[in-house]
Amino acid sequence: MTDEHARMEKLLEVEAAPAVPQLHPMRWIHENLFPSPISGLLTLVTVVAVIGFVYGILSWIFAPQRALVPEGVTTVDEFVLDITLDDLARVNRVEPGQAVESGDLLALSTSPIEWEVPAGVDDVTGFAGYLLTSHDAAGWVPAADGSVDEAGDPVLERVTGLDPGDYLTTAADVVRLNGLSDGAALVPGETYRVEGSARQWDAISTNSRNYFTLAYPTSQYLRVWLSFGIVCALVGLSLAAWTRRPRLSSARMARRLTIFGSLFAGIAVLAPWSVVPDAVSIVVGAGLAVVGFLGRRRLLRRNDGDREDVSLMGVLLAVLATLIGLMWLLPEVVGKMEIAATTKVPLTVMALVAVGGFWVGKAIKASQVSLGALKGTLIALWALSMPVIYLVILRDPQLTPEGVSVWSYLADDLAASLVVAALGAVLLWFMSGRSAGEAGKAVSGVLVLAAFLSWFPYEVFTVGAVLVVGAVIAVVWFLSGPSAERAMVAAALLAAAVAVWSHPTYTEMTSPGVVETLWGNPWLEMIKVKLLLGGLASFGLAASTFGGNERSRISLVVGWGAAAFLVTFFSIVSEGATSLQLESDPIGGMTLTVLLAFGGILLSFPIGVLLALGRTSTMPIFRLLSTSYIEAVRGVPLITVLFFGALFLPIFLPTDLRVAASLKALIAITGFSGAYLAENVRGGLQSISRGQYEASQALGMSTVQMTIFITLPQALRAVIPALVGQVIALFKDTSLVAIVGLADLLLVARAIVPGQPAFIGSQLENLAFVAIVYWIFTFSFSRASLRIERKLGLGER
Amino acid sequence: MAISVDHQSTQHQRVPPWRNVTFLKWALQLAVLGVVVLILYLMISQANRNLRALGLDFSFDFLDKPVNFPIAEGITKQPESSFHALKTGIINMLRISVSGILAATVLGVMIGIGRLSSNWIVNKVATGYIETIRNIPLLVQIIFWRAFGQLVLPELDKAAAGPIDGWLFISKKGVSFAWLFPADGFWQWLAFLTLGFFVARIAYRRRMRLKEERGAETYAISWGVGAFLLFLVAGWFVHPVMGFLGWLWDAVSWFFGILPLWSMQLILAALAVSGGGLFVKRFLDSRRTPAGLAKLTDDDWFRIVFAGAVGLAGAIAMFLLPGVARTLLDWGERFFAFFAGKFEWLGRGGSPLNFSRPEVVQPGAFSNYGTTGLTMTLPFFAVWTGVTLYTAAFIAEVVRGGVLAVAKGQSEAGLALGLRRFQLLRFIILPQAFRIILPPLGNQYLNLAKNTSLAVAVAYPDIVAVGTTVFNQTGRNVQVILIWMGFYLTVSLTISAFINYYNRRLALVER
Repeated sequence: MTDEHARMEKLLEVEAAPAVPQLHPMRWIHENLFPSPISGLLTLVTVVAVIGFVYGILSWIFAPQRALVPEGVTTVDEFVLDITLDDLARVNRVEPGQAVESGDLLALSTSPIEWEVPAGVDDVTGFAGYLLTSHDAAGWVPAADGSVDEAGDPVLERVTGLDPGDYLTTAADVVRLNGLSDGAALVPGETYRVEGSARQWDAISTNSRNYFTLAYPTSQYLRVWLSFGIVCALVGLSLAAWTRRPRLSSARMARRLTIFGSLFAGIAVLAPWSVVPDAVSIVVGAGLAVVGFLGRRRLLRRNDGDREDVSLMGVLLAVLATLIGLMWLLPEVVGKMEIAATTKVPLTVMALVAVGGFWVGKAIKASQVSLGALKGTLIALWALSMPVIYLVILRDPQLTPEGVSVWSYLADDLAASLVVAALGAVLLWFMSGRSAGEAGKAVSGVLVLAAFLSWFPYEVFTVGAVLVVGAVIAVVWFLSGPSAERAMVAAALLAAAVAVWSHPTYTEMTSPGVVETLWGNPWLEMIKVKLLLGGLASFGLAASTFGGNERSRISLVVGWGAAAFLVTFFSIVSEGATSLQLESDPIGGMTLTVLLAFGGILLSFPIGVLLALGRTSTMPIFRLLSTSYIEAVRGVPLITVLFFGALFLPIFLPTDLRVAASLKALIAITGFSGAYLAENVRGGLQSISRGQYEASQALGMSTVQMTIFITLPQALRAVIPALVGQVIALFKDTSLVAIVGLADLLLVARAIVPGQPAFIGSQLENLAFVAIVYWIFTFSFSRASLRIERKLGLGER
Repeated sequence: MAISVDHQSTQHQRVPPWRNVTFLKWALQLAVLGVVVLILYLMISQANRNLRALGLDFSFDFLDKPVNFPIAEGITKQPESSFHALKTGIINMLRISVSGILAATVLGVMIGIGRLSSNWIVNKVATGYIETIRNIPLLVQIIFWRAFGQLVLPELDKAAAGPIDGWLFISKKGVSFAWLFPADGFWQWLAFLTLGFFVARIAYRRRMRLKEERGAETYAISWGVGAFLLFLVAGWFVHPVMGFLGWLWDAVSWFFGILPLWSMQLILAALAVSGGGLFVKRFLDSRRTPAGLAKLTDDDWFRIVFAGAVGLAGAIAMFLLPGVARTLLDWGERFFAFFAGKFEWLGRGGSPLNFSRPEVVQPGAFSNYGTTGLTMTLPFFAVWTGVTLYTAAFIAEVVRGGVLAVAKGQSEAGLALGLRRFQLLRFIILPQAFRIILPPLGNQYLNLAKNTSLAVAVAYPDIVAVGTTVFNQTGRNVQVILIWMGFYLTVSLTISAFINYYNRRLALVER
């Protein structure tokens, strides 16, 4: 294995590093920027446009507070930032003293902030007085010396990043920021810079907890970090399992460092008003650029050209370490920033966990454990992580329903699951035998029917289910070979259990708020038993495909046991009350976005595969059903589907079945994404050559075996890039739940943070922040998809 | 499975139904169909029960009842009924979709070409644009543009409006600019233009044929454009002579008026049946081989029966639901009567187009845009900018992919023939690239049309936003959601039908 790897890598290395001929810079510019007059003109226009755009963005980001020197002020020492009554009147198009009504919005002159006129204030002058007395929380304070200007108006000062009450613009500040000398003369009417940005970037740092989880109680925040830690560990392990010692070119890294350094210095030059001390930024940026440039030349000379000689993981580790180090050191150096220990410590631990996970993964990979087993386990862990985090860690369920004694709970709830699991195991063992034959199929058909009927709220169906089981057992008897008899015995046992368990006392202990319905058989009323029956039916259907020799039979039964355990565990857990005192959904912000995106893709995957199989099937009714579902869903926008889930779904369901808003959104997203996924999978299925089908038929495989072992794996492999594209699209689409009122990342940025009195008018800052967060996620996914694509192409050569 | 094969190969006995693959297949399909129908039935009956418990019923009567809420913009600001309100929303949605599709195509093609450019900086800027825009959710962008307009754009000030006073105003109230509007003689002039288009086409074809016959330059394009321009200019002055068309439209409208209901039903039913029949005929033709009709599988039979059944069901439905035919008749009558009103023999002699410059009015304390000029309100601006920029990024990738997909040998062969770069692009690359680009481009148009539904987030009154108001007022959310879905499905199917039609026309004729 490792031998092969080494050989492969050697092969790649030779191919991947053709010597790049070094162009002279002037020649490069001529060839790439000014090859022809028209192209040159285009270059100039583009350069001007780019510089204008970047300058515009930078000046928006760092938007300096500018202040006009008032008449009568002649030296720096007299200069203060003020809001006058005239300003208020001008900006709001009112006369000083004009009447205003409470509830009107008035703007302040130097910022986009609007203030509501409070009750009791009825003219502009009164409003100014109100501002003076009540807005220190928002950063507007009366001048510390309580001064008034000539007109008798209060002098207000804007403070940003300072404690209320601090001086904002001292003479020393004005001197420093405007490059004046102390006591220098100012020109009236000229604009001077004063400290602080008009942008409220502190809205984001102050609300990082809201962005992360919204209303999750602070006292329980350890749970959030625990969940985050699980994900970090899995990321580390997966990186170790799936990457094959990826390498980067150190010369290229040095070039990136040059670009980064010059960009940093350039921004510092273009934005001298930034909060970070200017000279230091320029020097640091330029230093990085020089180091990168010199390093690149040296490396190119030493390596005799471009060569991939640095481990990607090493680079990632170094970046991570630098970031963590900066987080600890930068506030000390800069002095003004402050990062709370409750942020610093957990983030450091998370980084350590991820790195630890990576090393553990590497150790496992180096040991005797097969890579396939490691990857399989990791996939299972990933699939499990979402429900475990959501249902167990974040929700902290109380396992026994309220008012039920532990003993009756164990006797009824757990015993029911145990019985189904044990009987199911026996049944599966017989059904997966080589000689189960048609009898096995008939039994699995009965199971499907029973599982289906158990969901109906009418007694006639559940009684019917048992009757049908009995009838079909008779048919099986008629068809039977020796193993079918044994299967039949097990089925009879199951039917008997169903009948015996139908004692009426069970209804008394159904947990409140879950599924309280009126229908008959109390045993089948338990949602976990219905789920288990469904699971057993699907295992029964799979038995003839996955059965055969002793070993595969054992693994099938073990698989059933695990599935039964998980179903039981999660249904009990989700039925239980939570120990958190929460008014609504505990989940919001980024956590909700991630849950919807990954939950949606996980759940829609089987739906998509089934729909794709249906659409490419030779059976016309399946084709018709799948096609109409897919086309109908793809023809309407997601927002209508979300409204459908939020308003329509409850009407279709029994009135006493209450579904959480986030679950409704998840259902809608799953149904929507399933249709798109189906089209991707269909593309894969259609790309498989005819010969594959014919060969598997020639081997005597059944349609199910052919699909599961031959065509589907190839189809899924071929469409992995498209599937990643679907994940990206879904991740972006989750933002739509904000429209139906779920507090995802976007709603936090759009309504919750700017809704706080301190951050009114900070929409753009918050939106820019979430745009960057979305961008980072989707961009890294698309890069990953490109890598996978390249890797797959490599495999097919 | 193995057992049944043994049986068949050794002795030729009749296969019992539980081993007959065809029987099992159909039993399974019918069982699943039954299950689906059963689930739907149970859900619908539950929905009926729930609606009745809420005191609501499943009918669309509420559409005609008067409503009382304003709509911010559109053909009406005070809708008379829910139907009127939804119609306003539909027209608003179509306005944004059509203008967005046009703008996104232009921008997308430009950026796509920029992405292919050998000019380093143009290439990088185009790449940067695509990678930025594509990876940020559209909704974030739309809300961003709305907040941008609200917070960054200047207040509208009558004294100092700009940036180009009298031509283009940009402010918190939106964007208003000079524009041409259809005026009195527009429709008559348009008739002239249509005529001119056909004449130009004929002229172009004739000159092309001549060119092929003689092998000399015949200036076909100039002839075509010239003919069209001639009609355009002449029509501007003499368009009242087209007024005679008014009589024609009147006659058509009158004909729709006197046509009895049963005849329309008959025509529609005949259309449905012949549609089904045509499908069956084409299908059978496709199965015909030189040796006669191929053996039909059960799948083929299903298609034939299904197409026939759908055709028949459509025909019967036309008689069971006379409203469809009635509506069609009414619409036909009103549509042509509307047209007839726009034409007058030697009348309506005014200029076909009016040029109108924007203005700022200040009735009270606050300025606003006047009624002249084309005004984009802030919500319209936000949605339009958002969907246009977003879709343009995807269209750029489609264009780039299409051009790159043309085999390299094609351009090499073209160059070897001595074609110049422009000729190479015009005659070799673009025609082939267009064929590849068209289907994904159509998908992007579809996405744009669907994405306009996000307008609800910035309170632009499209069909979704108006619909939410309607169901908040009337409580009929089931019906409104169904209307939404039906409308968007119609739009989607229409767009994909267009794309399919062009795709078929452009497809290579294969042997």
